[in-house]
Amino acid sequence: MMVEVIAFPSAEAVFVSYVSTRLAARSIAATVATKVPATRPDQLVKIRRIGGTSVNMVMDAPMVVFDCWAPTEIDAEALACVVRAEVLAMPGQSDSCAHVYEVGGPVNQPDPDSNSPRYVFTVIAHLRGSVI
Amino acid sequence: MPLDKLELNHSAIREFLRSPEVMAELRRRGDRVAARAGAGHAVEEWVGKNRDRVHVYTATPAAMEAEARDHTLLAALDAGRG
Repeated sequence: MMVEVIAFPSAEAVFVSYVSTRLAARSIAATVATKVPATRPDQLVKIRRIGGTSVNMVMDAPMVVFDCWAPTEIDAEALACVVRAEVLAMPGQSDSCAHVYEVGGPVNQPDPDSNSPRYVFTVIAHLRGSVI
Repeated sequence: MPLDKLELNHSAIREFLRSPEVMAELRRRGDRVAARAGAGHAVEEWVGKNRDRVHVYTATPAAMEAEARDHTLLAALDAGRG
């Protein structure tokens, strides 16, 4: 008997691609990545999966943290506000994402190394798997 | 036979949620989260009005810095499952 094997998409790849596309559509010049580059750009959104387990055989539920840097506190908050809005709207705009809910709203948490302005928020997303 | 009405015994539920057995389970999970988060994380327990609670927190400057930089404690949450 053949058993269907379901693989989940890379949550980080899904979110980096989605957020990059949405920010570009809004003409917001921000780098979106899973790591901080050696020279941090003025506006950066770092997206990292930090946990989460599958909900069932076909749905993964990654917990994802978004770190949003900008030159000023006001700009960092504004960037986080747009990214957050786009991420919460993702279920209607992405085939792979069924549901997003917030587990930690935006926090004003300056970068501990440089004290640069940074806002952080955390979500759990439900991402559909596919047969491999 | 169908149930007409379900009445919850709230005081018994509260007693259960404030029992040593529930605290022991919460403590076990809290300890796992703290261990996964690494050095400098600690667990505190207390009995609330309606239920037992444990609190995992950053107890040293190094742990606070790791949490601010890498969200270490948040990333350890899954260790508290199951």
